Amino acid sequence: MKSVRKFQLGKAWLLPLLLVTALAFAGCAAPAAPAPAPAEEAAAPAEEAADPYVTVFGETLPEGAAPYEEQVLRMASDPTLPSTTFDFFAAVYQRYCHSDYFSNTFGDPLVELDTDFNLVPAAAESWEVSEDGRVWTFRLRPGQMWSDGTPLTAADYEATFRLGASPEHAWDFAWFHSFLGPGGIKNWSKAVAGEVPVEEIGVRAVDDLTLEIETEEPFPPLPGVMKFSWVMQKKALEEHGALYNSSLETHVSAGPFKLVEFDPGNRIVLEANEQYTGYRQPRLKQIACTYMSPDTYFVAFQNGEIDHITYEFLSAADFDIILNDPVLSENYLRNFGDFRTDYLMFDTFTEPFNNLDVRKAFAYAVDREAIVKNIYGEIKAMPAHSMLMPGYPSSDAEGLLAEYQTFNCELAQEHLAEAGYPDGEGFPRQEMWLRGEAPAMAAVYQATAASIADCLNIDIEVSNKDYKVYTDGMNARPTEMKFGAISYGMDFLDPANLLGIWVSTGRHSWKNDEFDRLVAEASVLVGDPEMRDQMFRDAEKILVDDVGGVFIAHRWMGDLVQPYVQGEAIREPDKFGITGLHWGNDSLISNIYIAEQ
Amino acid sequence: MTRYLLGRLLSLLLVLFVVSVVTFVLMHSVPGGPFDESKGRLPEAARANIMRKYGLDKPIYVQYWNYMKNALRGDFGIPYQQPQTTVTALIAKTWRITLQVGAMTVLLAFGVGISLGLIAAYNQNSWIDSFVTFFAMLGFTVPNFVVALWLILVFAVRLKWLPMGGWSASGDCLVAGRFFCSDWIMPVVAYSLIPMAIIARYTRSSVVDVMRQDYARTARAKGLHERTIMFRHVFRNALIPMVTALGVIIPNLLTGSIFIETVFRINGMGKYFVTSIFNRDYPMIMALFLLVAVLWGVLYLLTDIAYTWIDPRVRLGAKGGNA
Amino acid sequence: MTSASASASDALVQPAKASNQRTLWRDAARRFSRNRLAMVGLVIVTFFVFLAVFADVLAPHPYDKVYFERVLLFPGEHPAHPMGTDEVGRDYLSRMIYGARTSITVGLAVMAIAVAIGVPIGGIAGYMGGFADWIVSRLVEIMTAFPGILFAILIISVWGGGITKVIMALSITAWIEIARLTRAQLLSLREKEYVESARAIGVTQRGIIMRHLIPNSLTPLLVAISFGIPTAIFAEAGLSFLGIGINDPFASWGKMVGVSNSYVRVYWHLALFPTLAIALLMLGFTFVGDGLRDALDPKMLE
Repeated sequence: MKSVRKFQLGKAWLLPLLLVTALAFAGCAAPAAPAPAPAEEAAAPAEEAADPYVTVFGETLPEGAAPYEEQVLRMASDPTLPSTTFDFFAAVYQRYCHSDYFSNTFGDPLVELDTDFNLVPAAAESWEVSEDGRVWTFRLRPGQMWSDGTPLTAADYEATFRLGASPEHAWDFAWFHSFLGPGGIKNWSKAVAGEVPVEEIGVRAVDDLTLEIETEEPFPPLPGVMKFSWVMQKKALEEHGALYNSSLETHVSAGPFKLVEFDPGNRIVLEANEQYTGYRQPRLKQIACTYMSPDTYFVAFQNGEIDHITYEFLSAADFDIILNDPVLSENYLRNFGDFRTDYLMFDTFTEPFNNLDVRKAFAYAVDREAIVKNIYGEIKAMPAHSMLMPGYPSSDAEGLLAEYQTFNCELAQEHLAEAGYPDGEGFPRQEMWLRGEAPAMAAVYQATAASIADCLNIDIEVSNKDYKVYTDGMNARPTEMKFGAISYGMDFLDPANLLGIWVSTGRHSWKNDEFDRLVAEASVLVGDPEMRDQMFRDAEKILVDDVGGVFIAHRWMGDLVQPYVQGEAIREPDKFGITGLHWGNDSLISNIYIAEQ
Repeated sequence: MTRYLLGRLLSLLLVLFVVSVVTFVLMHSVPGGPFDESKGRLPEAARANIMRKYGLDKPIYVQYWNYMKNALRGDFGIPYQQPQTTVTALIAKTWRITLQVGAMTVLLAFGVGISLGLIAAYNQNSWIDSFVTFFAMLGFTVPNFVVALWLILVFAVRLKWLPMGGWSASGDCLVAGRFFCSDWIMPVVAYSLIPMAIIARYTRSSVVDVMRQDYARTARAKGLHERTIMFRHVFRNALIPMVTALGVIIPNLLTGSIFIETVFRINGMGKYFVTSIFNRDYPMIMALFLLVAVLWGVLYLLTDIAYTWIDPRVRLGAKGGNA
Repeated sequence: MTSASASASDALVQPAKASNQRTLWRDAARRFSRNRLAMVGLVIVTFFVFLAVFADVLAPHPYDKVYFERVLLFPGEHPAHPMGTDEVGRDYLSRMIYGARTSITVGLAVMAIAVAIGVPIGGIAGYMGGFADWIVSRLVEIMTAFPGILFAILIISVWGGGITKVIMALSITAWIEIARLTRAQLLSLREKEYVESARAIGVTQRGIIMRHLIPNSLTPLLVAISFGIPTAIFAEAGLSFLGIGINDPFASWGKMVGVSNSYVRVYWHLALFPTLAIALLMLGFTFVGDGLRDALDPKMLE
């Protein structure tokens, strides 16, 4: 015990020493960086050098901010995750540093969502729809530039979408622009299938600043979907292919940051792009992404080596430490994330789950409150009674659907008896599939299975499958998965997305004609937002009443940030009272700054 | 001798061929592929595009043929996990870390293992001997991930002396003014216990055996100093069974332990065996399995050759070639 | 994994002498009972087998009972849970006891299958020689070229997890070692004088195999099995540790260790108990195996 204390003391005085060393290094590096600048600004040398609190865009940093030289946000990345690109249209599942805030900074999307989830202009300053609801015209903000000095034009957006549809490129997200149902970009699926050339997809540059997007059917949420339109450069695509940003030589940016250090697996550094004239000029000078094992993130954070960790990399033990520490818990910023819902799904076409009473029995047998309170922890989830998390458009914030899916063991037993299995007698043993879950989520589903098994007196085995074995079995038709647990987070902020995945052509083996009809009609309904909203609400009621799935919890996401990571956009609550990094708001990254410590 | 070696080489080639075929067929029969279908089945066209991009649209024997053709030319393809690099480069990168761990483990295991074995043999049937025997047994049977967790519990969680995991490049530690990274200690210790136990046990038993042999007795009778006997005669002869032990230990250390690398979160090659299977990274799986097969084959052969070198009495090919 | 088999095979360089079978077994039993370590090992193994067999009676709680209000309790924090509870709120002591059942089941089942397949195939190869022998020798070589547990991982990826699949996957590699041993055993035995003389006086092939070869190769096989069981237990623990072995809610020490890895910074008890159990059981089997080898092979003891 004695030696322990001694050692800890030793470490404690070592820390300032390390900091001094680090500062000394920073000091060494600092003079080197601005060196090329004086050459360009030889005309006005005196005034530039004066204020250390002015960004490269000439904006003065807020009160209390650290000098511009120290405006560096440090993130961490897992070296074993696949990563090849910064660009959404190159490969969605293989982006560097696995953070939207890091990787989508080399080009602006046409639109974005503000912290209250309102659609706001981004690279496009305005848009309008044709009378038949099929053709959308976006007008680009004039004067936007690439870092090589050429102007950003509608042709760049056109080329970006053509890349996504190209069969040779084989984009991993190519299904997306068919919007999982009716609507979808015109000719998109045909181009992906190689039936028509990519030049014929419904994305056209009319002139330098006008982009036209045509859909197969009227599709009201289209502008919101354009949140995913991070642009790539036409010229670079033609000359160097889709991965042009994965190299310092061929990299080019029309976004707030540019690539300055590129050593994947080790360190990647982005720096403010001084050529940038877009809508989100950053206060940060640099974003640095260092590679380390995810399980060392938290230790690195506590040592002050990184500034930010997303919740998925925090273990149960880490959360224990966070919740018991006033500073850490205050800087854990909880948010909606992608409105993710965890739920159970069935093969409702075969025994025993083709029986609605069995499904109802399961729906009433899950003790959601206890699971959220004890297994997730309330900081990570809220009990769910339906698919759409309160806060999401058309969601059941009033709790009207709670009666259909809530914990009521007696009712559950009644339904099971009704189905012909009184007290669980004769009910076949079930295997609940999990999709390669990490221990924390596996614990949630084990508790869910235990809750059902306990209440209904049946046997449930929980099998944590390999991720791809799971998806393959789930997607097989007829499905190979009788019963499984899974989650879904939104792709775009419209009920057409999160309810659209439940139509009978989607990944679930559940079919309800009325539901299919409502979702299909509402998705393309133009001109009557109230009716559209009501149709989606009716559809969701069918989903919970007919028990397409058993909804367990809506997940809160969150980010642990250092106390000195500041910015109104992440620190001031939105209309739901939520702080933190909001999904869909790309300009957040430009609002963040590093405060003086 | 040459004929024997030639035969062994041929059989090694046969083994490699079978290993490559079995691995290829097995990995392709695992459901899924290098695409993400978690949101639902991809539209046929999008799926077909991806399959074509990776050359997976062809019949499996054509794929195998193409793979082997390129592999023999030294082109092992592009890992799906990190397509910006090549399989060769990725293996080189991760293997370096595994080799670092392995090399330090070999040093520790041999240093301590041989010493323990010698001490035990020299003090045969004393309490030291029993202690070493027991320790060897312990190191032998307790899985290394169990030892790893014990070390973490004691030195990282309880005492907080050492980091929970990670593997710093030597440069990182030099910046902090140290030549030794503290995160090296636990993985190397945990990893070295099994080989250390094997070596200690082999050393002890073969030294004891040899000491009883006639030439040792003769030397002793001639009045040679005990230590001289120990080193000049006994130890040299005791090397033979140790070579066998080496043949088992070295390839394991060279390819890295999945468990050690998982527990301590080391991004070495061992970890890639698992992530490659999980990611359906076919080129990487093939390369790793072939690499291990080659390593084992070659090391077995080298072991046999080493026998003849150490002990001239052994003649290769005389005993029916069952390694 | 290779370690246990290596130690098994070094015992088998010398096949047992077949003089008087009955005395040999009696002597062996006597030698075994005098070996202190072997007896300790036997006690440990018996203890865990006892746990495994009577788990239903011994465990204070069902292994799958979730107590929502008692998640992640430390040992002693609640009188009903002397070893605390796990991340789902299940009694850890009960899961430890049921874990013994999983380990022992896997160990015995894998070795039973390995013997059932390995002995006939190895026997045929060793006794017949020729092409059969060539095939088996190549098979052995090929299997050693596959990186240990990775072959099992690959197989389980194809089949999926669960205790039956785990047993099957592990048997695929385990029978090879048994076949190799049996083959080597028969190879040396069939050249022995008494076999040759039996053949000379016209004893049938079957008679030779049944009366001479099988009893004489039993000793080393027994030793190999006693080392094979912990090897299989280790492999199951390893697979479950990686998250691809035994399904929930069934308890497996390896799985408990694997899960504990992400809780260990705070909840040390999750890691401590299962690691101790694995270590103890493995030690127990190894002591027994060593004792058996020494007892059955008098030459080793001078």
